[in-house]
Amino acid sequence: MDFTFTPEHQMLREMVKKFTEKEVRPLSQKIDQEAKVPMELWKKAAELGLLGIAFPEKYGGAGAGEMGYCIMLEELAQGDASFTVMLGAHISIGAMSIYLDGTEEQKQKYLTKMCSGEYISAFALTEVNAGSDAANIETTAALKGSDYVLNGTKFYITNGGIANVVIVFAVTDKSLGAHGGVTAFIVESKTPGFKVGRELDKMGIRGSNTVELIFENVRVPKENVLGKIGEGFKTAMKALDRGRLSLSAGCLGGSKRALELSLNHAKQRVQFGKPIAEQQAIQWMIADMAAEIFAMESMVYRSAWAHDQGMRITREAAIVKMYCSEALDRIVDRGVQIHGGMGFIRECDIERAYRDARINRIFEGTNEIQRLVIARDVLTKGAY
Amino acid sequence: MKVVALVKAVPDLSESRYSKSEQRIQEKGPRLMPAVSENVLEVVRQIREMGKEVSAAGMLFGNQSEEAILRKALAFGLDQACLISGATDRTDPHVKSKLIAKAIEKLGVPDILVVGGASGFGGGGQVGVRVAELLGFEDVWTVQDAVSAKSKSVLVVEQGSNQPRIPNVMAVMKAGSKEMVMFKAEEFLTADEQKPVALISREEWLA
Ligand SMILES: Cc1cc2nc3c(=O)[nH]c(=O)nc-3n(C[C@H](O)[C@H](O)[C@H](O)COP(=O)(O)OP(=O)(O)OC[C@H]3O[C@@H](n4cnc5c(N)ncnc54)[C@H](O)[C@@H]3O)c2cc1C
Repeated sequence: MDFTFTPEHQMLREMVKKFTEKEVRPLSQKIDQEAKVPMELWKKAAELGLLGIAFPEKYGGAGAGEMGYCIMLEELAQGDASFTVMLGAHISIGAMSIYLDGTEEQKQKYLTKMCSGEYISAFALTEVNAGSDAANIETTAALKGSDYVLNGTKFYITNGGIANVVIVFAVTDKSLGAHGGVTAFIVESKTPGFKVGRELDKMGIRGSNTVELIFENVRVPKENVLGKIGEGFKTAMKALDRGRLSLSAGCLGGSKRALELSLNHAKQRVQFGKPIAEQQAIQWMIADMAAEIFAMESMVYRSAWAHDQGMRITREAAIVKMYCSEALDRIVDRGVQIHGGMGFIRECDIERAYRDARINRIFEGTNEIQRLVIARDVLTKGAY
Repeated sequence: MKVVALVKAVPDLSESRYSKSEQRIQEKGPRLMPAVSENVLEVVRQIREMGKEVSAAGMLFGNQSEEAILRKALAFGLDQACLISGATDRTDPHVKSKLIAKAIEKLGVPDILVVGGASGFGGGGQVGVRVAELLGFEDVWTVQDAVSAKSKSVLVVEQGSNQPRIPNVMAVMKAGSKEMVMFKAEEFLTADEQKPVALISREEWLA
């Protein structure tokens, strides 16, 4: 067993850390207040090749694997959660869907531009009546001549209002249900009939763009069918599988930052004549935070490594997503407690961290759904 | 055009402790690339961006274990790296310069040699000028950013003189597979020739 990172991955971490400290973290409060990530920041990330990190060189990527991708998101999450989610949705589910199931032409046409940052991507599965029950989507795609015509409304779509390309899941044959009846489409946002509905005002990750997308007779050429007709649900599940691990790497980064902020505060805040860090009650919280971070780090990188070795990690990804998002919530909660009243005040970084953390237990499959996946897998295949 | 950049390895001062009794730093942990070397590599990057066909190599005088520093230098976009290790003494600027000059001759004398000024760790800032003299370079310039020079030149870059840009992920991932040339000090100088000349020992100084 060898638990060391390769020299390349160590350098990658150092490089992203520098970028985070220099360019991302100083903007975090502004991103939250203005509910917007400046496009300048996206461009800077693109110039450094961060957007193509997980994809092969032939598409303009860096070929750093899931390991490299997780390292990047862990570091970025120590700078700003909204920006991390913006990149995460673009890479893990938007671009990833094309990488996993696209044809070579589709990859050359779209994935290369997603790696270079010229295109922002989004992934549109959820609808008002189909969240956890994603198989219940109602958006339709009907074949008319050489085009599919899309009609329907998607909800809660990350990057939806700023994306150039959206992966849209629609029903092509209602009689076949989700498996067989749902197809994935690559839809360019400039297509007539593609409309961005209202932008949703959120508790946390406020800078990440979350919108409603409306499709009114949107004509998509046949060559933009992603994967096989009727196999869209498989594409969606495969991409979400990948997303779960990197989302957890973001949770790990957020946790490390919350601990760092808490340590700084605990060492410096004096009550009863000594720093509160000397109180056992505070030390126990710090110990619990450190222990959970250790567990998160171990499971994220073990799973990323297994993935890069070609192993299937469906059960692991669900476990890691469930554990890390819940651990992050416990950690930011303790962080606020350690900060006392200051932890409840907007200008304090831990206040934002507390709000930003909460979404992780909900999106990319709620934690209840993760538990369903884990239990089903354990019950059918056995424990370990 | 060929460029060689000299890269340094300095002790990790956050890990190392100063020993009062020995009056020197007791090194702990692996050595690191100092900030001044990033300033050097930024100048090399600017030379590349000036548009000429440039091949750039990084050279480190140090220990075998410091290969990681050169890998990092490669991530800043160099084509090749060269490590000179096994010297009996690594502090004497005279010996150091001679070894570096010999290694450069073996690697192919460049048009431009970019070196850092004092590194903030025992740095006398002498190596650049000494190597220039040994190689017969006519000009030594202290620069902040890249300049175009007519004759073979040494550019000395001081710490903090420019804003080093962060390397690109593609370059980072390729750094591991780029060429690393390994030289041993004994290939160039005998143990006798490696005796410190420019510096005297603490004992001599105190006497
Ligand atoms: C900020 C944000 C960004 C998002 N980004 C995207 C995106 O880019 N693309 C996209 O397609 N979607 C996106 N989503 C949608 C997200 O994935 C869904 O919100 C999520 O899957 C839950 O669906 P729901 O909101 O309809 O909740 P529901 O499915 O209505 O769930 C409500 C509650 O019931 C529980 N529940 C439901 N079914 C079961 C069951 N069978 N057993 C036990 N408990 C159950 C859930 O766990 C939850 O606690 C985003 C959502 C948000 C808030």
